[in-house]
Amino acid sequence: MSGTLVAVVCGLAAVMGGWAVVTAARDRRVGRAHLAGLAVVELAVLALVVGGVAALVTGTRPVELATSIAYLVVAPLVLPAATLWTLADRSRPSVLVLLVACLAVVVIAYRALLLFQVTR
Amino acid sequence: MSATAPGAPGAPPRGTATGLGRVLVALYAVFAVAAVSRASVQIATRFAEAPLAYALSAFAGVVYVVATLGLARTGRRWRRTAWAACTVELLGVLAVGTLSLADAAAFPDDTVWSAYGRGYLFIPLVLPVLGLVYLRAESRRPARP
Repeated sequence: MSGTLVAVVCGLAAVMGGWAVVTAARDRRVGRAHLAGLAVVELAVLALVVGGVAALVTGTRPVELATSIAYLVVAPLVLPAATLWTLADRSRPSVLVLLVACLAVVVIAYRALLLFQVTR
Repeated sequence: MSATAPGAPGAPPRGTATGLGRVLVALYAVFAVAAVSRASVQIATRFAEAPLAYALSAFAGVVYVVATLGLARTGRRWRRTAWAACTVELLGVLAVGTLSLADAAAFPDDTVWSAYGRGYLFIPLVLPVLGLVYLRAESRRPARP
């Protein structure tokens, strides 16, 4: 798993999380620009997942194999779930759900990197 | 200020209308997924190594799921469920945190509540406190229709 890609995912997710805070603070709602931003972060997450799957297929065997697979499965679902929530419930604080999701993505990407470093 | 702001007259009643409530539910949902998946992996792959720790791991997962539902739903019953779940969670993180430090042999592998949730940035310790504070504030608000 590429450390650079993990850093990119974390950076993009952090920016998106910050944007969500600013949006909520200014009492704005999620718009098209947010969705585009979320799509960019999600693409980076998907690239990370593809990298992880490729590593598994080509013989990398993390010690925590089941956990590693679970991370790859859950990672791409976090942002879409939070986006659906924010769109379904267009109140001011629901924008902050995006912040929680972005922080979760940062943690998931970082932990996935650690998981894939400890191999058999 | 938009016309549909939560709490405004005419807005539909909401159990988790404040910012803290909404963010809490999201945080709880993340921890429910994290704790349940972790416990499933531990129990499926190596339950015999530390039955106590892994059983507690599963219990923590269930508590997070119940707390998420209790906070997300409206109504008196769900409120009571949320109170119970957050209380159990606080006692659990304190008990398991203390046990895991005092008797490390019984906890060879980390659970969500080990060392007061150190592996999870101590969020497991802060979350039930926030939950209880939120529920208290919520119960003091004037009753909604």
